[in-house]
Amino acid sequence: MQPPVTKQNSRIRIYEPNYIKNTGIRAWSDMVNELIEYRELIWRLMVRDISARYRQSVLGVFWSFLTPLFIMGIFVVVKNNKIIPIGDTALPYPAYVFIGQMVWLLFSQGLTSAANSLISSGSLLAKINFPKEVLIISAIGQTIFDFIIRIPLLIIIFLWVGFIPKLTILFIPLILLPLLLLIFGLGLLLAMFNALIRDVGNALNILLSVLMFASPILYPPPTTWPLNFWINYINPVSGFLIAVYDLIAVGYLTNSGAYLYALIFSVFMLFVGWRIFHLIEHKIAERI
Amino acid sequence: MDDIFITASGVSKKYCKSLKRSMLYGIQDIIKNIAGPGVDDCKLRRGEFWAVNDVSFELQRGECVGLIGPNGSGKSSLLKLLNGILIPDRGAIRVKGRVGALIELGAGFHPMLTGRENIYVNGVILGMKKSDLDKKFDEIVDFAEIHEFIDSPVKHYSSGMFARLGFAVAVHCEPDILLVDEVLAVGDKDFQIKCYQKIHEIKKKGAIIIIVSHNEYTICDLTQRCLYIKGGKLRYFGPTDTGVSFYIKEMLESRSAPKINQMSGILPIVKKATLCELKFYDQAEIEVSFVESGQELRAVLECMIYEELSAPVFGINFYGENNFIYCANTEYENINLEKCTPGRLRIKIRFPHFHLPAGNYTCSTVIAEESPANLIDWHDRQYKFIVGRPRNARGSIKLETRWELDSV
Repeated sequence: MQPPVTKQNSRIRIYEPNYIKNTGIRAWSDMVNELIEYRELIWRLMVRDISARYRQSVLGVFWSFLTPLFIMGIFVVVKNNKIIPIGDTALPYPAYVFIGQMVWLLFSQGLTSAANSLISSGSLLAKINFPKEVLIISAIGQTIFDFIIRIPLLIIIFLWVGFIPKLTILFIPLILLPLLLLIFGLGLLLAMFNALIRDVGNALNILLSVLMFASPILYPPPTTWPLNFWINYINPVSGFLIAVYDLIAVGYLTNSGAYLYALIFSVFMLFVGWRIFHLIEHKIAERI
Repeated sequence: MDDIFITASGVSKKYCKSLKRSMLYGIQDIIKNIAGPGVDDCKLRRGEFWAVNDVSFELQRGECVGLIGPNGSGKSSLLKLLNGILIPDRGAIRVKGRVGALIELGAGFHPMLTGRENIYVNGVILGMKKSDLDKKFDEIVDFAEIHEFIDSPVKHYSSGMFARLGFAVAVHCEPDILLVDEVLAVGDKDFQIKCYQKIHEIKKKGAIIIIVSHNEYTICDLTQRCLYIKGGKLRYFGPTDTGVSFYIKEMLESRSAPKINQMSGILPIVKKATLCELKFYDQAEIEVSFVESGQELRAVLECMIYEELSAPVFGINFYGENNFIYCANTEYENINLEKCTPGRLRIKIRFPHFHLPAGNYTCSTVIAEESPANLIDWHDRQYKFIVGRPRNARGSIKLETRWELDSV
């Protein structure tokens, strides 16, 4: 019995220095096709990591509820006791913090796990040849999974505070799509540099905690100059956060400028990150 | 189906000895790669060396080749280059066919997951589809012989079970090109035999197989041709028997000083005589490290005698991989020598029918005085040779037999 002739094995592969010579549209279609070819691997690795993560724990999947719940709890106490003056939010404050945390954790956990994905699969990289983007995507997939399983808890919180969101809430997945592209683009760059220099991972942790406080998660988006410029426009995550709040509480985008900026920045990062990653990819296995 | 092949032309790969410098070069390369179309990879920077240097060869469908060489000679790097894990700094590799690599067994196994789950993960990593895996699942479990543990997490597996499962998944991927890196040593004897049978089976289907092993007998048994690399350079590419003999000869030559061994403590410090080299020749007086079972083998032992020896005994001991096989010496053979005068002495030992079964063997040589126990010099298992085909001899010694079948 002969092995089935698939696209993968009927092709002659050539390995030589600087073998990625295609540029422009050809290169991009190659990159996308490669990922489509490996979609099953992406899925498998994601399922593997998700199902292995909580295997030896009692609370299991509930752990992913605890981080946003605790942050929410702490800041509700902080606000109610006026320890830090926090302005009024468009949504009831607990729901506001929780949604903010959901979006933020998607970004920060996505980036962190993407950044560590190559290192934690170092032995796999050194032994098997496959497109390394697969590891980053499957790492991001895990955080998407976390995001999804937090939704029931969000509904409970809505019921608890007695808030009925606008129907436009259903557009949130669409509006968060560019955020995923941003995580992918940045994640590729971070993973690559982290594989070379481990300092990147540590620096990322600090950067992310700074960025969390520089995003409208615990407080409403600032409206006064110059704070509103820095937080709402320069920080690419803010655009997404504000858009999410708007879709839940208002029904339309109040700050489409910030969202547009975030959208353009995300697409730009995706192109830059993926292209660079693709050029460097083959150097990673030997340096890891 | 059109043919599968591997072509390597002038393949070279450099490595850096220091981690810090490697980090620096990595960043340099990235910047160059992004900024310009190409990096000049042909020059060595400080601290770099060629791990694989200008290797060229060509393999066709159905070929099974051995890859031999001392530790650190670049064998594993070459396999990684063929698999596309590493990209050559110079030269090019052309590969057609699905490559299955047994570079490490169970790559991608997650310790927390069960054997069943890991078969799927590992299979997909190795390029199989879920539907293929569903079909092959039972076959894989049968091959690995882990039926009762298939639903326990692999972290509770013994190392043998882990390796067996890894091997089972890898060989059931039906690769066109199979790269095997020193993984056949896993498992017990029964499992090893099964692995060999499976490799023979894959070979029969027309796959290209490249096997790295330090077990010269394995190489001789499985392959017709071999690649011998040393210091990253291809020293030899041709028939296995010649290649392995050449490799063993070079290996022995590079051993400058005799090994210090457990016997050295009981040897006299001032030696009356020292042993020189032991060499093997075939019927045609050609030096060999390889003999066919049942053929004639000639051994030539040279030694330097400094002082007159009274009643000297010369001996040669044979060892298998894990047993002592035979001790041939002048006393046991009733060759009573009265004395030996100073000078260089050559002893020829003829084995008209060298009846050891196929395998790896080592030899020790001995000079003693008066009794074989009173040692003067001893080279403990310094000499290596292989008994090769025919493979019909299994066990620890080949007995001459005559068969008669009568119906009564």
